[in-house]
Amino acid sequence: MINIELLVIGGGPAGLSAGIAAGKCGVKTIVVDENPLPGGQLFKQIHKFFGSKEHKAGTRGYKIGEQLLNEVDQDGVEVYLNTRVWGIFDNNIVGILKDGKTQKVKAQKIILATGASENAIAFKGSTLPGIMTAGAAQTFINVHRVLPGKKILMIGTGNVGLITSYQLMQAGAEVVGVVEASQNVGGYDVHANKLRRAGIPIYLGHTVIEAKGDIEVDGAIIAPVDEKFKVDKSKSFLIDCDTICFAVGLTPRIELAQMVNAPIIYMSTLGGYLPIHDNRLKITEDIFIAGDISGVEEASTAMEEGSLAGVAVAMELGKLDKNKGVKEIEEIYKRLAKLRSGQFGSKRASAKEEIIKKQMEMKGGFK
Amino acid sequence: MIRSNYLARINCFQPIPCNPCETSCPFGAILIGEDITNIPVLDITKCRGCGICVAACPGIAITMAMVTGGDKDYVAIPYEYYPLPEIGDEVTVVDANGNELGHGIVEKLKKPNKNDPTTLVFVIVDSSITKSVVGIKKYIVKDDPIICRCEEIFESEIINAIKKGDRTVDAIKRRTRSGMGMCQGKTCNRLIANIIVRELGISLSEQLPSSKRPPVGVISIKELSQEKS
Repeated sequence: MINIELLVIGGGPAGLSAGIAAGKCGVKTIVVDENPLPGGQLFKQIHKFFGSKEHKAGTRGYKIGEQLLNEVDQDGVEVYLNTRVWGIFDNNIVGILKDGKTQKVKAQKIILATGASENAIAFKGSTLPGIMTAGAAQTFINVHRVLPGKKILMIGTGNVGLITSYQLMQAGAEVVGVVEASQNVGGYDVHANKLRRAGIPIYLGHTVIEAKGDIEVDGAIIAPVDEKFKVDKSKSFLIDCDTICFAVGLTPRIELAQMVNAPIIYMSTLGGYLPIHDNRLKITEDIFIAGDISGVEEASTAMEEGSLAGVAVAMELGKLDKNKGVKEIEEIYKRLAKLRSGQFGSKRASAKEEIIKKQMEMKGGFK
Repeated sequence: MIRSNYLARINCFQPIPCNPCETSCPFGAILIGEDITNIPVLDITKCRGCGICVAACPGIAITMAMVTGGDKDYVAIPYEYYPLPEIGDEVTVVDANGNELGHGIVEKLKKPNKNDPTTLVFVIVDSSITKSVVGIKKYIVKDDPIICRCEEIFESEIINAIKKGDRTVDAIKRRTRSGMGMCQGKTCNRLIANIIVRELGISLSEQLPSSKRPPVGVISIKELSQEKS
């Protein structure tokens, strides 16, 4: 059995930031990640990030990933790659699978930074080869440098759908259109306008009702939907394409939080079911969360939350002076508030407040 | 022994080398003989309508019919696709060449051999077409998308589970196995929750997420058994 002060589960932006924040205070930390490379989705992000300088804005995602890896190294945080967590048990014992063998890790504190997974939709033919999530297409082009197809139809106009469409074009594919069921583009206009300038049609108020093809996708039938998402099949038409990508939202990966019996709440603005946490991202006596598991946002917010959880753990373990820690957390909240403002962020800010309020109302505090 | 009114009907008219119908019949009611390319002949005085030959025929070329003398007759049809139709479902019945004859209602399902997945679908049909019915049209058309990819559970199966009274993702999981495969529901849980919203109007915030237990991801028994000390 491995004994450690802090175990961080997930080595994406949140998990690495948590490891860095705790490691800086001298907390003995292990970060585990099931992938062969750490960084989560950062290494697929070839675009420059938004935010301000303190959020590493203007830097391309994969560069941020490299920076985080350097810092992790400097702070003496151990990173276990190709390591899967398969369960959490009583007394903070975590089952990991490493080098083909299971091992127990007993941690004084645990931070869950498991992220989110991409949603799917189902329609006639939706399991044909050639249909994948936007994230999968990003892995194809930005990690493996292979085009998933030549003529791509994107479903969803959130930032993921818009950015991935742009990157697919940069990689040499033709994006034949972007389909959006609602009447408005979901993501930032600056991203949508990049597509508009390239002449990509954005089909607002439409949905894909069928993928054509016998052994793989060779077309998509799309039809208009009204405000209540009722499909008008009489006005359907065919779009020639060989790949269909889903960019229809993300779901927080809360399984491990469920296993420790953390109370769960549904928050549509934040992607679905979430563990209820307090203002230091704590969900049970010794377990914290950070990043998309606490509500789907962006890598920049995930990094701040990771730092927050790392600082909170360091304080609880007595490795960081309380006053200093409280001050740091205040600073982090200030930076988070900037990211959670405006038309796009304020809804997330109030949802987050609601969760913290729920936690305070809970009787008996943490188990 | 109660004698069933079902009688086998053999739709096999080419001299192909095959005789499981003869060897499977416990009553010796089907005769082919030494030369296995002979066309099978049914002795209706010996046939008990047990259905064993129906499931045994590799050519899916035997049905059974019970002629009532009234408006409706009963036909038992071998069926080898999933998902199976459900009792009460309307199915399209076809002749030997696949020409549509009309509709029938599924009365019951039966597996004559529990170790063999071939299922007999008993269908109530108009007596005017009983003679020609040889099959039912493949029940699931392509319109029915797969919701749980790991366990290959179709949308219609999810809807049927809801019709039978399931109200939660977990209840549907227990009935259909949806979410019990490799990915442990990562893709289908949300799709199923949305089908519950659509079919029953129970919003996502009123639903509970499906329960999760270790192992949370794929792990082999071998790996589990080899704990590093």
